[in-house]
Amino acid sequence: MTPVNHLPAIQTGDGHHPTVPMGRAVSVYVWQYPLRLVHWGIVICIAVLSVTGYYIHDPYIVGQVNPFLMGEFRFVHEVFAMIFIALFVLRMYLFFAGNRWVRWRSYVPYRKQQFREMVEMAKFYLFVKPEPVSKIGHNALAAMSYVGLYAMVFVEIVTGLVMYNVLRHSAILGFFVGWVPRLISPPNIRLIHFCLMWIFIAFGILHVHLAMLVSREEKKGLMDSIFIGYKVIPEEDLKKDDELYSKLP
Amino acid sequence: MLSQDLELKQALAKRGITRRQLVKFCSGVLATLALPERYLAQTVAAVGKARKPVLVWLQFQDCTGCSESMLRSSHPDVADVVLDLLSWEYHEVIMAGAGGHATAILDRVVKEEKGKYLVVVEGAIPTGDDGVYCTIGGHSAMEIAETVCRNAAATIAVGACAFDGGLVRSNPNPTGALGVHEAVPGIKVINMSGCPHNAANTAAVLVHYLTFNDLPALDQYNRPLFAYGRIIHDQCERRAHYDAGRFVTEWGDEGHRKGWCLYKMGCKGPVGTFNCPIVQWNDHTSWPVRAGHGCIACAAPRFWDHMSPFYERVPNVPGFGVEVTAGEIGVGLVGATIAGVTAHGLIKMIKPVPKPEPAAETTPQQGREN
Repeated sequence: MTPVNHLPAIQTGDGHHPTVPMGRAVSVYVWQYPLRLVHWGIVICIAVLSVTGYYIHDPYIVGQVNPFLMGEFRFVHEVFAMIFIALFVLRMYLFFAGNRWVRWRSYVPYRKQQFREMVEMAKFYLFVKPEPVSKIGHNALAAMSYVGLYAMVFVEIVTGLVMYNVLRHSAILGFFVGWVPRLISPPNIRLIHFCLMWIFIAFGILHVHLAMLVSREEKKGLMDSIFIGYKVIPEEDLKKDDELYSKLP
Repeated sequence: MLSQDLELKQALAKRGITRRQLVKFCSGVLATLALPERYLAQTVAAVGKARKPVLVWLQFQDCTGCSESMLRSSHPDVADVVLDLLSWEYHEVIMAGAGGHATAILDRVVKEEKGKYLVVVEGAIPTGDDGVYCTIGGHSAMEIAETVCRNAAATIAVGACAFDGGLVRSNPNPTGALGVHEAVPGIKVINMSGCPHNAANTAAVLVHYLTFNDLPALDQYNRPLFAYGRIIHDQCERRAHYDAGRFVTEWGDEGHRKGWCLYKMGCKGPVGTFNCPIVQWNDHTSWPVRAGHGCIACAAPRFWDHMSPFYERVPNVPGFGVEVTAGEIGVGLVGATIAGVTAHGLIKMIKPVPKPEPAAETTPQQGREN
């Protein structure tokens, strides 16, 4: 594998920060717009749900004049929870219907190559290796962490729906989640729901840090790609991908 | 003699209970059962004509709180009328007989009224070590329940202990206690959970049985829906304070004196189902939340284990001790992540790992061999 840094690059003067790789580079449409919608939707949802959810857990505004304060916090929480569920369902659909970098095959670790990649990436994070594993889509370690994240999102959704149904008594919802309180007591369901929120916040911080780090190292426009969808892939990298390379003009 | 061929109406007249009082009682029961008014005539007739069914009240691992609750029941007439509605043959706390006389009555009921009598069970049934932890007259609670409940028309399990083992079964449960429907599987049982059961609800179930010869509609835990179908939170008189964000934050603070919501003090109203706020206790006088104490969801399954700590919003996280809340752990986790990320970024900036020369572009393995 040839990292981008080894391509000839324009030197900006300090000798450390080559900007645009020279040679042939191609813009590849990696993150389709539904995926970006899911990504930014989840960011907004987690932010809103964390703020409102923390209020529901521990009402930090007490005795104000608004006669429906808790009611409004709960309303916003429930509305955004429904949007969150819709985004989760859309993401699950994309695991089977999205492009090659979005499909489940590039997420679920089942090949030896993926496990090797994880070790290489961990070495980069632990300052053992200078270069990150540079991929067009996700590296295997990142991909696996997103599988873990979606698993936790699923648990968060189920626990949320259980608590919602305690108030709603919906027969349809009860059919799907009614068995949960028989296994886990309602206060523990609440505890799981609350603890996962903190894990999501910690994940968000870690995610932004590592994305910036890798983006800075591999210089393929990783940070830009989640806004615009395109990554700049050098021709050298494309050569390893016969299908993509054959499409090159 | 066991069987009394007196009709209930006559029995009631003998006790000085007028028809007016009977109708009043039946209206009260109908309201509790949430049945429409058109059933009133039918109920009064059924109750009046009924041949007094035999009822036995068994006590195992209990505190007699449910018996107390029944005897001091809130409705003025319930105690009298229920005692007269049924031929209450065996009840260890209140019966006059003792020893062999008492157990002989129980044996006779099982033999002579087989399949027709009602059993009320109070208290958990220990199953550990062959049930030696509770024996009455040389028989273990397990054996008595097996014989008496199997031969009954229906079993009414009153209180948390008979429902699912209650306090006796709570961790670590040294006696292997179980609720009636687990200890004697396969019988027709209705659970009146709660610590104690509310006598008004139990009376309503008995009258429902007399009227329709069947038990009322039950939920997934075999509890009657009319009493356990809704959560406390939805019926609570302090709900408006919850919706408005007015909370008690400390015992005895201004909000507590003003009767604000007890949510932050660990009230389990949002998860507990019961009709406490409607039926209330002690002559319809009050109930825990009105008295200024949060609900502990005493009618919920395994509430001693599952609803504690009673004064915290969420349980403690296992492995962190009782002094650390889930919120503190969460803040700690996020703080540690920020610190770790900052440190990681700083190290990356200060100590860049030397990059291999483009000329020496070999795999790491080959590099080591060289």
